[in-house]
Amino acid sequence: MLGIYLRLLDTEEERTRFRQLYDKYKNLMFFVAKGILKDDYLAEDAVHEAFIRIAKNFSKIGEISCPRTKNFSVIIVRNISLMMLEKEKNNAHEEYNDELYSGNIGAAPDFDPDISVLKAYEYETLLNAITQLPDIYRDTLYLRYFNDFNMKEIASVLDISEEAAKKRSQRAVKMLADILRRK
Amino acid sequence: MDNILRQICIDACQRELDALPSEEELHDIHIFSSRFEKKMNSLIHSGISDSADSISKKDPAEETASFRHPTILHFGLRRRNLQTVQNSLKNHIPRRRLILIAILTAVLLALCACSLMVNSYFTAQKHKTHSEIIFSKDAVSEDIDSFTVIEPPVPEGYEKVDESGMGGYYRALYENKNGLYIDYSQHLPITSKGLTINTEFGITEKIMVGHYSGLHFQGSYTEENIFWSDGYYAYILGGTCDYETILKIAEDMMRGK
Repeated sequence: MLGIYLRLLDTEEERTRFRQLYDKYKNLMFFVAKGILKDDYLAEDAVHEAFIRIAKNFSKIGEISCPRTKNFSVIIVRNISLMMLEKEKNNAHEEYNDELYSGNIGAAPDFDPDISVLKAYEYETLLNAITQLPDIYRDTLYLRYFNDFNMKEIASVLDISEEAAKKRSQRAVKMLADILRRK
Repeated sequence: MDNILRQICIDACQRELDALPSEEELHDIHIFSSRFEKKMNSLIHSGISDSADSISKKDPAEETASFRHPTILHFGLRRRNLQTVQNSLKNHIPRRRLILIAILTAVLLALCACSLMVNSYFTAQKHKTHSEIIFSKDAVSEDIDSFTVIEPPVPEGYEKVDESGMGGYYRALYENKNGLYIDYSQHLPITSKGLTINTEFGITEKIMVGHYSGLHFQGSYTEENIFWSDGYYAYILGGTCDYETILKIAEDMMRGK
């Protein structure tokens, strides 16, 4: 996926809304980034990079002060911070690398996970299992169901290919089932 | 069943959001650096020079690379040395011969300048994680209606698997059976907007695509990209195939221009 985009904040109205979003969430985003990167300088870079990606996807944002926009902002900065952390460590996890850094993965079918296994468990157990998923997989499910994004939109927000987004969603459900089976 | 997964995700996500500190609690968490604030102002207002300049002074890793049309070649002699040379010439060489030498030198310099002249239609300002491209006023095509798609001559074995485009933008994705891909996009070089390229994965270097200047950067750890403009359009060509292949496609596109 090419790392390029047109500058999108064209109108005064967009700039005003973007400024509102920036003022409202910059501290929260810094908090999330710092929690991962443990460094002020890097956390600021992550927040800045996150706002660039938000600008790129600004059309997907409705109301500024709402849980969906909050979730959207948190997921973007978390995603970028995790990528930066991987880069800093320079010992990329193979599974991570596959999806975060490369569009070169096998074709994934449409998102159609086998979720029948979930039926056998208590609701609270399911909730706890979701929180045990690695961030990148949990975030894919959150974007899918909490933000109501389709695969193309998820791919754009996470800056990965659509194929990778589909694959990540499928893997998330499979991992969720594995977590539940171990319980 | 999908509804169960949906409801679990919504509830789990809401719980996570609720567990985050409130705005009040985060109010004094951090005083953002002036470097950060400048970058953000730059992003919000689409101005770039202030931020880029101030950053490049602080961090040598962030530099400003400028390309102007035409490339200016500076043949400099210090003023003092220049006067010494002129005086020396006046004293020893007759006036007519001096004029002849001056004319010949001027012609020689002009020829050198012409041979090294580069067609460049943008200025690139490199930051830590991205580069901002501003098109010069010499970029001539801003009319969306006149946009004509130019397809890249991809090597044998690659097939177009996706394409999209609207309003002065076209993008196509090609893949071969080994999973390697070529990602191509063509843009109108709208001077008031510019482009931002994510260059956090690799050093941006100046390159030439035929007679046109461009940039080489990495889109990810496995992806090579080049950017260039011929004045009518801006192009980005990248992919997981090797850099030489990408550059050759670009040069073939510009052949004859």
